[in-house]
Amino acid sequence: MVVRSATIRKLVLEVARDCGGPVHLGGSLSQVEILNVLYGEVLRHAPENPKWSDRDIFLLSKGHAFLGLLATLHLYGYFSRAELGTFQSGAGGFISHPVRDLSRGIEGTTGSLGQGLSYGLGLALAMKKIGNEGRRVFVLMGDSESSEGSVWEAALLAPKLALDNLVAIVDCNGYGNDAEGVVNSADTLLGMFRAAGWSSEIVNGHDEEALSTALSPPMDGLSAPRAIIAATVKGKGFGVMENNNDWHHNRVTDKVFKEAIQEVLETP
Amino acid sequence: MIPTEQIDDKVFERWNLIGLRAAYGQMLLQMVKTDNLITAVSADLGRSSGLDRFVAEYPGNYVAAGIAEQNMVGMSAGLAHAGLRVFASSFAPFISFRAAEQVRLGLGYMASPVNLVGMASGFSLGFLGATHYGLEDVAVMRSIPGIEIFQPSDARELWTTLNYVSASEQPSYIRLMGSGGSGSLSNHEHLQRFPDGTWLAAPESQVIVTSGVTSHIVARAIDELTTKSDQSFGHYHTPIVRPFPPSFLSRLSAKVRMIVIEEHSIIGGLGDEVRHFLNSNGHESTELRIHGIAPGFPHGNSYGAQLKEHLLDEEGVVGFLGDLSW
Repeated sequence: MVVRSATIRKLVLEVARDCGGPVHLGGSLSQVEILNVLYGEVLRHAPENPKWSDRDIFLLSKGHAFLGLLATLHLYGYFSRAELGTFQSGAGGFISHPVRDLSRGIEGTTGSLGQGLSYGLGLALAMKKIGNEGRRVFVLMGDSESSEGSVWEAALLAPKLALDNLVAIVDCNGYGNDAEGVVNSADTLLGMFRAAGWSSEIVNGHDEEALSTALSPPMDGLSAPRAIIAATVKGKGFGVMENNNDWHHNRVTDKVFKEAIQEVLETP
Repeated sequence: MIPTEQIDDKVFERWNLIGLRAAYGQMLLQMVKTDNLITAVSADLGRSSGLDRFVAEYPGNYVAAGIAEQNMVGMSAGLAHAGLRVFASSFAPFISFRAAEQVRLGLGYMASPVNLVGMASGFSLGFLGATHYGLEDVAVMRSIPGIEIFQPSDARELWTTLNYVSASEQPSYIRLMGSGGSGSLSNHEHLQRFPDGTWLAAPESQVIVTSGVTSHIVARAIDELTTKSDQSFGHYHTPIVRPFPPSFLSRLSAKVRMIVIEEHSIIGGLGDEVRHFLNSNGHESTELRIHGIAPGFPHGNSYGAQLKEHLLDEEGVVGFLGDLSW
């Protein structure tokens, strides 16, 4: 990997502090290894030519975790640090959720949950129909987002269309906006995807090697779409934030930043 | 695209007889023959969309979405953004209300050029009842920025609409209403400058605005009234509801009273679009009446009985206009 996951996390925290407002931190941090493995190893992409017609597509269906994606896109060369710094700064800068902007590697507008898989399914199906079969679509969703009915409308259809170029990833960090009663377990999601006809497995969402293997399935002869259920820790990387849902959406003060960042520096 | 002139008049006559919903599927079949990017999608209503032969002859150009309108619309946004020319059909309330959030995000915010086809709108589905009526679908679509809304009145207008939106980069909603034999216009000169409306009766001090198959009913009602009374009405018909055709203003005098007649709720439909159009074009003081369907859930009844009860059949329109006082 060109980029260290710890670097992405540090950048997330830095931008969160600099913007001065509340940020969706927990879900931005739980997905970091998934994003890093995708952009570092799995996706066929070209940051210097973001609209490359043969590129794979990544959609952040759990759009509120946008800051994690932005930090990743910046570190992989999609835009400058100054542009990243426009996050939640007003005046036309990046906002809390992705707004489709192909020139910056942002493939879909999301934020209204449960819609990324349908849109990705359409893109994947079009790739098949247009004969561009080497391309793939990856959609990252949340475990609480997966309560949306439209997720399962898409989940039931994709295997019928034999979309082996569609990969769904669920970031199972164990919390929603609320802490209790809203989350779907990794086992439940695994069973649901399998029952619908997906090839599905649970992996450790912070294990880059395991993710790399799981996210690179052979497309030859595998007719089922693939769903990776990634078991993660919400707020991963910073002790104060891990499994503490106060950090679902919160403000990073200088004090919090200094304490949290010390841990990253100490991480080997 | 197959030029309209190359389609025999008799084909258009047949399409008018079978109704716009069945004709829709047959028209897409003609279109896909010369454009392999045409992609039809339906939510388990392919047969009801007249797509049987399309599916049989061009299975690779059809996607059976199942009874899952939200996913159908979200998927269609992806298909269209990837370059396919997508037509997605379901009954009007399901493709508007059920999938409204997906329409808002995919077709509105992301501006993916999907063409949604709301079938059997208005009271067309008769005894299927208010769950299936399309009485507020235009209101839903009008609330979402960027979506062009079409309401063709006959087969030639539908054919022109389908070919227009197929080549357009704008998302669209095509509202199909009426039943087989709902009528057709005698003159299609306005289709040369599509999308635009046309005067079925020259402007008078009272002007009626209609769209879709309602235009045929209202035209007959005006004929009847002008024959048996000294009342006179101008009549403007448009196959596009939004954006409302700017040419409407060119023949209007300043002191005109307007009546919009529509098979849709009086909230949010063509009437509100005309009001918005007038207000945006310096005609704020123009008097406007909307004769449509009062908000509610009418008990299921035959199509004809519903039009009659809501004074939207010829007799009802004659009565409404005859009693009109300003």
